[in-house]
Amino acid sequence: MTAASLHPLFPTLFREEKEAAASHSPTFRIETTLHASYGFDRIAGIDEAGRGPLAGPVVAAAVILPLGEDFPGIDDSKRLSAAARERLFAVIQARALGVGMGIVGPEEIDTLNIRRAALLAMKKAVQALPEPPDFCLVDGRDEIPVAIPQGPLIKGDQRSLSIAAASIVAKVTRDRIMRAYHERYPVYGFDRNMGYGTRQHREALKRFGPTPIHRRSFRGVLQP
Amino acid sequence: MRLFKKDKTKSRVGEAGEGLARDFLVGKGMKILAENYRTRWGELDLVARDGNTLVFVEVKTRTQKRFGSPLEAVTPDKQRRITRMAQTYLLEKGLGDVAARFDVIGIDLTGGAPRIDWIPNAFGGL
Repeated sequence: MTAASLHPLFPTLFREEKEAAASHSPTFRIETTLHASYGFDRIAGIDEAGRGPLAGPVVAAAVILPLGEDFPGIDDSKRLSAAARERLFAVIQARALGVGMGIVGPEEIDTLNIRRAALLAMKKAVQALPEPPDFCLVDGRDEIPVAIPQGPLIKGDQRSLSIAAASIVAKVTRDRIMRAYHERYPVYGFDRNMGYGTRQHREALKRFGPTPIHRRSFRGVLQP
Repeated sequence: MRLFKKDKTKSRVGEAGEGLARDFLVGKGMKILAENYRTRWGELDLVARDGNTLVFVEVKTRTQKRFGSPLEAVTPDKQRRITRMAQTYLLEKGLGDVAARFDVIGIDLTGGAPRIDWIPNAFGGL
């Protein structure tokens, strides 16, 4: 299958917002346009967490929200406190029309490379939705390998409420996984660094070497 | 990355007509998958989904009084070209065995309010 189903209208349709986007909170604006002008009514926002860390999986979420309802507080997961994320995670789980998760572990990250692993996680998240969406709004600039019309949205987590919701679900889930790994491998501080390469984490790597959940293809994991 | 390039030569009239056709189809409950989808054979005006059927739509906009149905403006040669473009679309989207049909929509802009003439299944299958 060649280039999947990138919505051909998409790049021109929402380009004008790109610049203004960063400073605003996400809205349903794009979703509403897709509904009103193009007839889509199950629009999934898709985002992933954990591209950067040296350890742990990359986790993606696909979230379909009921358009038109009010979701106060939902924002890009990077702009929220951990406590706010936890609270909104519960709100999303309760009110979303569908939530799907996709998890790709460190072995696959090493064999695929992180970019393709992240795309795979997003594909799995879409497939894990209880009912398929009719349009996928994907954070970033890549298209995911599913035969559903889709549009990439740069800074999507700051522009689309559906993507922002997905970013929260992905981040909270990944953090929970890393806290669980902390129980098994306590010396790396996974409960605080979530696998990211903090100084304390790098020093532990130097002294104790990598665990099975470390990404061996990442620089700094295997000592030179 | 831009898969969609606007055809510079396409007239404004044509664009207005396609916008009307698009809204008309959305009003019928269809989902618009692509607009001005480019292939080496030319452009598909609209690609929509009607339930589980894929619909390739040719839009004919008329601004001058003429006689005859919009279907007559889609010559057999144009039909063959649209069919080929549809096959290209299916191939590029990795869609194998889906039900598909060809519709023609005539938009008449000669009077006051535009008149929309919808001919589902206007010509032969794939």
